[in-house]
Amino acid sequence: MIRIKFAATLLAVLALAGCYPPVTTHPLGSTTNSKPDTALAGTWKGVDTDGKPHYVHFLQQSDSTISAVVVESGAKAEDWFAAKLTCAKLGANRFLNGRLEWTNDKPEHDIPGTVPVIYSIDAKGTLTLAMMDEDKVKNAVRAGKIKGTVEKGQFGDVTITESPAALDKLFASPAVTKLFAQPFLTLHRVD
Amino acid sequence: MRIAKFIAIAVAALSLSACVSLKEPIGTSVGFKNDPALEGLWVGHTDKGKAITYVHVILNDNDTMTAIGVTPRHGDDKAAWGTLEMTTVKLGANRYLNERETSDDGGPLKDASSSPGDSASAYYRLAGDTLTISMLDSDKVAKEVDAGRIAGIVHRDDKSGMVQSVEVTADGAALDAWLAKPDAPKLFEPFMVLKRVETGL
Repeated sequence: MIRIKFAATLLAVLALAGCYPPVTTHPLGSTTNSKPDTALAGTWKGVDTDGKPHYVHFLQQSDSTISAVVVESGAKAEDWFAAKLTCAKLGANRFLNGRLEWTNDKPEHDIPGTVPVIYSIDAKGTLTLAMMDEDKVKNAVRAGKIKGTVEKGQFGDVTITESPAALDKLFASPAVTKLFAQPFLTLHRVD
Repeated sequence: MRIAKFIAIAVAALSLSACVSLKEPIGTSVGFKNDPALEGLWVGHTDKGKAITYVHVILNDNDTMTAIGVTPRHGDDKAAWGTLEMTTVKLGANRYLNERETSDDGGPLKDASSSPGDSASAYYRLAGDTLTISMLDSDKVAKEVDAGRIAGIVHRDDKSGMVQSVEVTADGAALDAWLAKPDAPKLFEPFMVLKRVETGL
């Protein structure tokens, strides 16, 4: 079982799950002509599910990726992480493929795949980010609705192993949003 | 010699610090202690004065601090981020920091001439929500070396005699005693001003 700590805003998720969030072996959107979402670029601030303030910097890179630097804020803040992101728009859904690169001063190497993150920006400019619900994904895999693997044990990691085409078709459907948990970050632009 | 790079804001600092190198970080003889006044988010501008750079300072348990610098893309300048490990020390009434680059855009240090052990040192002053960071001035330090007030080697241009760089070779105790003097801040020149960002939501 991979016990990589996913840092900062994800600590609460991991404290509950005790393992890595659901990942895909292929990034979402690899069969489409996905481009970086320019609406994300810049600096955002907001709160996680525990109400802890965070800053999130989305940095557009020249290789069509986005570097995300997420830093806890406020007194006695102690966590931060950085991830490399790519964007995918599938149907009406917008996703980020997240690959953790750095957690609290330590580089991350043992990455099992990319973490699908669904996001939306509402009319007021509020950005929400949510990861897949581990139990729901496990159940879907065990029921044969999604091709994937589930490690043994209560905290076994789940990996979605669908082919790129099947993956993009799955995540383009409106129903896939039900496999995602509540947003772990709710943000507003500051620049 | 310190030539490491810490994203956009640090480039100017390091080009200055490369002119004065220290044998040891400032404060090794008395020990480092985190300055809680530095904790939080700061914002400044790059040496070009246009692009904004955010600097998050996190206090660690072991009396080190982590500084995470983020410079969004601006015009033709690409976005960048990096991290530093910092220590702080108070000598007399003077406050100093040492910084060592630990990552560059999420990867290992790209500058082959830098190594994880390299560090740069600075004098800093807090006035309200304004943090001013100053670097040792090579001409002023050269005069100190020439006067025998601190051990070091001054490298001068053969033709013009101008100071090119200074190696301060004094050990930690002598360095700290030198920089504890009330007029030691006069050896430094301001290079960066950061403003505290109110982090309330």
